[in-house]
Amino acid sequence: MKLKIKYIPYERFEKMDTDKLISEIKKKNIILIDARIGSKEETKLIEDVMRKISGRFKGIEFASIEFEEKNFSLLGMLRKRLKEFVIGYKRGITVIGPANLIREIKRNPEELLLYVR
Amino acid sequence: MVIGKIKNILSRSIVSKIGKLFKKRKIVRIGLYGPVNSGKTTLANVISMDWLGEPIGKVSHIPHETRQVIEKEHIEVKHNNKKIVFNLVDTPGIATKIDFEDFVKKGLKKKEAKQRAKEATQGVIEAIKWLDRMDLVLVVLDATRNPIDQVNVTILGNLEARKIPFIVIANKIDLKRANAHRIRTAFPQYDVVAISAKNKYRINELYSKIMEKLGI
Repeated sequence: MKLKIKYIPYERFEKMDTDKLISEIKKKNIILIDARIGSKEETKLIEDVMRKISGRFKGIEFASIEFEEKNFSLLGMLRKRLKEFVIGYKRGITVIGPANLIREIKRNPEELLLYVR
Repeated sequence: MVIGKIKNILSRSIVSKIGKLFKKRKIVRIGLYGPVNSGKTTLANVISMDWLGEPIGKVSHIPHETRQVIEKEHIEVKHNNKKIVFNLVDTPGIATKIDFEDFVKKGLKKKEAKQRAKEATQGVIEAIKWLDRMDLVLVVLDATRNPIDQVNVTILGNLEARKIPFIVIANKIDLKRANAHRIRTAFPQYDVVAISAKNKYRINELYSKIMEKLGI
């Protein structure tokens, strides 16, 4: 079985119309974003997905993980915050896929396990 | 000019007093949030029955039984010589997918199942929209399930981002496979209260925690 993973840089995801994102997902594409999307972006995604649910489109499975800096010094924390401020997002990955293709996504601190149907 | 200044001071003082009056009268709104079938309505019913003598909503084994936000007003809880008055808000479970066929498997007819699915999607949207109205949220998690679930992370992340105080509730501890410790380990930075809403076990501890969170 072939799986198509579509990479979307966070800068594009931020400006992307959710309808366009959901139509990519409806085409059975698994979306990979190179950042941990924010909580409010997550709830907006859920709201927009709910509006699109129909007989064929059941919704999504998604998961985000953040890459944690191992440096817990004050300087390390400041550097992390500055990076987030400059680039505008948290380092990590977000995976979004159609629920009729992805059965489950399990999260571990530094990895995501996708279980497909 | 002097009269103008005095008028200004008086009007500011009156506005401030009116403001404080409304502030005193402000009713606290406590919401129950969480994934589907975690026991939110069961817990809401316990609280509502305890203090108002009537339930807030219907409970069933079929997912998405609660498909609308329901607010029960003026619940007065007295506990440990303290009193709190609040509106209790029960919300539909947050989900990222809804399949009407799941309802058919639970015994509903296809037409009924499709209608339920449609209402459930609207319920999720409504629940998210109500989040900003909450003064305190009880995040109800099923202690028999893995707590590191994206829906749970999304709910907790949103509460933190919106600076809404919350209590994590590890529910269903009456069940053999329940593991409240797993929830505490998953979220060590949060207050976790382990209860059984169905058996009304440790509800008093929850009332204490609510009062503590609201500074009463």
